[in-house]
Amino acid sequence: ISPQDPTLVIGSSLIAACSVNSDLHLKAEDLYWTLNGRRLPPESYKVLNGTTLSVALANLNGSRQQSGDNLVCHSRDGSILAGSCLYVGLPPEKPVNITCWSKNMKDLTCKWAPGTEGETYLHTNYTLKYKLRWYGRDNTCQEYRTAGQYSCHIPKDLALFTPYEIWVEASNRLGVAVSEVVMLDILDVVTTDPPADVTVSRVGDLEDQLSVRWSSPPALKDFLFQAKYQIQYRVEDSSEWKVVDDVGNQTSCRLAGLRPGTVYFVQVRCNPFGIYGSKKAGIWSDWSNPTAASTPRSDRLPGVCDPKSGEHNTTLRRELKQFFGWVKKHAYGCSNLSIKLYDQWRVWLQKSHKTRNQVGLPSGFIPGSLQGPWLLARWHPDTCPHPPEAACFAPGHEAPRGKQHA
Amino acid sequence: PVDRANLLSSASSSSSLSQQEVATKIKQTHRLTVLLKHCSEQLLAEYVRHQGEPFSSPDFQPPAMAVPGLPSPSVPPEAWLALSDGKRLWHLAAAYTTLPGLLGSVLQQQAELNPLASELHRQLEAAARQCRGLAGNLEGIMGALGVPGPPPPSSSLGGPPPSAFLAKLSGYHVCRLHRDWAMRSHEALGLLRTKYPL
Repeated sequence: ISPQDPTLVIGSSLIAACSVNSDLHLKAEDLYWTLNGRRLPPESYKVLNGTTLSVALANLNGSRQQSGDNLVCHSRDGSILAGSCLYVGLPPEKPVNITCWSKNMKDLTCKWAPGTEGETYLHTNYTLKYKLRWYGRDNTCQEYRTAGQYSCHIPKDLALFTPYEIWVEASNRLGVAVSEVVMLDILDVVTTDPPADVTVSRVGDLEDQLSVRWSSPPALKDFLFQAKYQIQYRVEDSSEWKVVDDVGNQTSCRLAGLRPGTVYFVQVRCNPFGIYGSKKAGIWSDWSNPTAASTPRSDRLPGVCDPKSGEHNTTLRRELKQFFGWVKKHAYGCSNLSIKLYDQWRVWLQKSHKTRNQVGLPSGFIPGSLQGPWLLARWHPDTCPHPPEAACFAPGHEAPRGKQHA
Repeated sequence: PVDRANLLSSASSSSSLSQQEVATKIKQTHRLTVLLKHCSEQLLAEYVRHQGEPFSSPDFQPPAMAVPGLPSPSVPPEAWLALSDGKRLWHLAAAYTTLPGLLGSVLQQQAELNPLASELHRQLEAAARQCRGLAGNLEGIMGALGVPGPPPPSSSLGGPPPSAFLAKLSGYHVCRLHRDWAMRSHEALGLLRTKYPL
C-alpha cells in the first residue's frame, strides 16, 4: 500500500493504492479495502491497472487510536494483503495555565493544561523548559508526570532571589506550539509540608468545644517566615467542611459551637508567607491527615434541658440572656431569627397554638412535664441557612468569645 | 585413560543433581509455565486492544508472516507429543532463548506506536523477563538430564524499522507465538512431572 503511515489534518482527503505482486495471481477487481475493520464502499474504488486498486477517502475524522487508523487491503476471501496506518489529527495548541510551586525552596514543580482543543487525536509530547532571565542557557525539565499527566519536576540547582522564565512546548506529528513565558522567582511560590503533630482534644467537659494543637512545619525553621494557618473540620457523616480562616502565627485554636456527642474530623494547613521578608503570601500546603475527636455526649435528651427548680429561676434567666447574645452573634447570615424567652412552656404553647405546625419540636421533648424558663429560637431555612449549632447551653460556663470558633 | 564418569560430571555442573533435585526443579518450572500461560493470554489481549481494528476483533485473521528468527511451534501437535523428552526440551529451549529478544523489539516498537500504553509496556517487559527465567530453568533441567542445548540465538534483527502496520502485525505474531509456546511448554512440563515425580 502506498502511502505508508501518512499524517493528515482532520477533514483532509487521501487517495491510497494497493498493488499486488503478479505471482499472487490476483486481479485488482478481487481486492477490497477496510478502515479500522469496516469495509469501504466500492464506489470509492478505482482500478488503476491490472494489479492496482485505489481508494478515495474524504473528510477524515480524527484517528480512533493513537497507534494510527488501520487502512487494510484484502483479497476477496477476506485475507489481509497489506496495511498502512493513518495518523489524522490536529496540530497542538499552546499549553496554558502554567502554575508552579517550590517545596521548601528546594525544587520546583510545574503543571500546565493542554490548549483549549485538548483532543488532538495524535500523541502530543510536552517539554518544559526554563532559564534564568538574565543568563542565556535553556534547560529542559526531565522528570515528567510527578503531579498529574501535565506536570514536571525540577529537583535541584535552582537559584533564589532571581527570576526564571518558564515555558512549555507541545509537539506532535503535525506541528509544534509554544506556551506563553511565565516569569517567577522561586521565593514567591514556596509551599511547605502540612503542620506536624496535629492533635484534637476535648476541652474539659464542654460539649460544644474541641481544642486543636499543631506544630509549625520544621523545614522552614531558618527562613524567617510568618506562617498563616487554616483549619477545616466536618462532622463524621457529612462531606461539607467548615473552614476557620483567620488563624495567624499561632499553633493552637479552639473550636466552639459544635454538636455534643459527635465525631469531628479536623485538618490543618500552612501558608509560609513573607519568606525572607517578602511581602507575598506563599502557597498553601496540603492539608494534614485528618485527626478525629468527639465532643462529650450530652447527658440530656436531645433538645431538652434539665428542668430547674423555682429558686434558680433568676440565675437561669440571666444565663439564658447571655446565651441569646451568643446565638445571635453566631447565627451568621441569618435574618429573621426570632429568639424568645418564655417563663413557662405552657404559656408558649397557648400563644403558638395557631402556628404550632410551623415549629419543629426537638425530638424527645415532653412539653407537659417541664416548667420554664425556656429559650426558643425560630428561623426559616431560606433566610437563615446557617443556624447556630449549639443545642444546649451549659449554665455556669461563659459563652464562648473571640474569633476562634465557627 | 580419563574416567568417563568424571567427563560426564565435568561437562555440566548441574549433572550432579540428585533425582530429588531434578524432580523439584521440574515441578518449579512447571509452575512457571502456569504463570506464563496466564500472562501470555493477558498480554495478547492487551496488545490487540491497543492496535485497533481489525487486530482487536475476535475473528482477526492475520496473514502468515515470515518474520526472521521467529520460531513457530513448527512441529504439529500430534508429532509433538510423540517426541522424546529431550527433543521437546530442545525445542522449548530454542524458543525461549529467542523470545526475550523478540519481545524486547515489540516493546521498542510499542513505545513509539502507543507511548501512553504503560500497562502494555509493563506486560511486554515482564513477559521477556519470564521467558528468560524459563530459559534458565530449562537449561538447568537439560543439564541434569544430559540433554544437549540448542545453539544461542542469532544476533538481533537488524534492518530498517518496519512501517507502522508491519510493526503492529509482527508484534501480534510475537505475542501470539509467546502464548502458543506457553501452552506447549506447560503441556511438556506436565508430562515431565509425571515421569519425574517427587
